[in-house]
Amino acid sequence: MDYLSSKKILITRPNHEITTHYLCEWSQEIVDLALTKNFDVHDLKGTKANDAISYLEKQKYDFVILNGHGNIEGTEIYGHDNEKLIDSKEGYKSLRNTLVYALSCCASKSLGKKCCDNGTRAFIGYQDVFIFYYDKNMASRPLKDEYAKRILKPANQVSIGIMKGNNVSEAVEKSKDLFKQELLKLQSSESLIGSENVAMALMWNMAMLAVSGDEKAQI
Amino acid sequence: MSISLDAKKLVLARLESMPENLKMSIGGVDGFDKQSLIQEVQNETEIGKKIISMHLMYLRSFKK
Repeated sequence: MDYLSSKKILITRPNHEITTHYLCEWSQEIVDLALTKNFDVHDLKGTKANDAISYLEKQKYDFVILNGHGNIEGTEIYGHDNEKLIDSKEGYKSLRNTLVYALSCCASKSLGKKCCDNGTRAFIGYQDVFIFYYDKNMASRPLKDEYAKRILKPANQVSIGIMKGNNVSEAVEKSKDLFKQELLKLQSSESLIGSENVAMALMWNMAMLAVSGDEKAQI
Repeated sequence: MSISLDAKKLVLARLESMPENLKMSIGGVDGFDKQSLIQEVQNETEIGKKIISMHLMYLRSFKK
């Protein structure tokens, strides 16, 4: 194993309420994939998510995955207990020379472009709110939640694609393809009660997924 | 964003059929159940407007 050429990945996984708990649990497959590929993974889970800036300032990462809430203006991304992590005033500078995927509301409305204007290689995110449904009876077992799975698996495909060597454009296309596949399954099947709600969220998220910067960038 | 009364009524009717066990995470706030989503739409809050937009986007997709 050649440690010198190992890709460096940073992922934030705040986990302080239901939404971040779901994102945290569903991100485990991304961490697991990175580890099987022998990437150098800095998995900032729970309160550690709030140390992201100090990690970013000390070393260069090939790929940064930011889970967490974002503000409606699209200028801030938050960590654990909604502590501000990245903003469009100072924090965005820490994302220079890296490839970013933000699973946060509205991050691509404004922050994405600001980052790329400042040297972020590419920024993948959502131009408006990111929506998912969950079963209130499964909240303690997010990975068994069929509603959340339909939405969070396609959302994870961006990270999975990047880590498998796709460029940004390819990874986003594959994610959208997975969104579409789930949409078609839901529209043609009555097996999931309330499936139309999930289908709407899938369509919305797919439409809001956007890229700033170099679409040919890859790690 | 201005909301037409027809669009609001349509979305409110559609929300009535949402299963009771389903909750929505949207816009940095989680745990909207059916009744709270109905209230957001009725009150035309920012969340309510997003919900209407989402429903209308979906319905328009069938026109293509």
